[in-house]
Amino acid sequence: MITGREVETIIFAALAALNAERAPTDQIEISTKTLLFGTGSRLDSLQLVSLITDVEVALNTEHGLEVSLADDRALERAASPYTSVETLRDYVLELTQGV
Amino acid sequence: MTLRWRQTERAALLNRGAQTVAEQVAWIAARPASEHNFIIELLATGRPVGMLSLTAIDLVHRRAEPGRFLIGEPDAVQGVPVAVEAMKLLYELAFDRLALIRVYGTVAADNPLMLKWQKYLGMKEEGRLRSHFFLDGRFQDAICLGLLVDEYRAVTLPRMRALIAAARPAHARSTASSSLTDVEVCSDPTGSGPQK
Repeated sequence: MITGREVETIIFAALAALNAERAPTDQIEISTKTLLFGTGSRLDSLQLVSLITDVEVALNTEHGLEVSLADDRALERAASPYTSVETLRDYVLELTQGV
Repeated sequence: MTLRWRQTERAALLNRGAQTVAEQVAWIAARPASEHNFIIELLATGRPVGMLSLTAIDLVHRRAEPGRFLIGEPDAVQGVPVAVEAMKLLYELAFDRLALIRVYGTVAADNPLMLKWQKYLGMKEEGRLRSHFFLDGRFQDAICLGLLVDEYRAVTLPRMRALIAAARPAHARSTASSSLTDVEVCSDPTGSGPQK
């Protein structure tokens, strides 16, 4: 079973990939508190989709997990799973329980 | 405005467009009536933040090409699913109002963000045109992408709805999938140079 720390590592790598495309003066902080999407975040839709794609691919290639992070389950949640690194980590852990 | 957008760093991987206001005006005037060219506006403020188009509409073969997709005011759309909502509106025009069965287009191979975006939202890679674009000072391959109406309904729409809803505060999310409230699309009076 994948751990929270492993999920964080995957999300951090996805954020680092986004930073590689951004100017040195416009880097996104990489921490568990980093806001991903919604009020106060610094990602736009294209960057959010890039992050989601990278996380899904890494979950599959590095851990053999088939996870869809953007489907009806995400829509039905009371709180957005994309709010921050922490909420996305918790959402991934929830989806991968028992997988 | 759109000329300024076309000259931003973000537009470097789009086809070369007008270089002067006069060229831009001439290009706009030359747009055929069959094209749909749009400005993306924030509903809350009416601020224009980007543009997109539906061109090459063929009602016999029931296909068209989305393109000229550019967010020109990136700081205004951070944390807001503007691009997803705008593309959702464009696909509703293509598949629901015009009853098309296919949309297609090309993306520069060195534009990984746009490629990821299009593929995540259902586009399938259909081919590669080698050294097809001269962009950003070098020749680049073009990746050919296509989306069929069944794929749009099965893959694209659910993902778009999830992304739009998830970006909203909890109290506003119950209507997110059926009512686009952050952006509106209107006829473009100030289009842009050709791009994809």
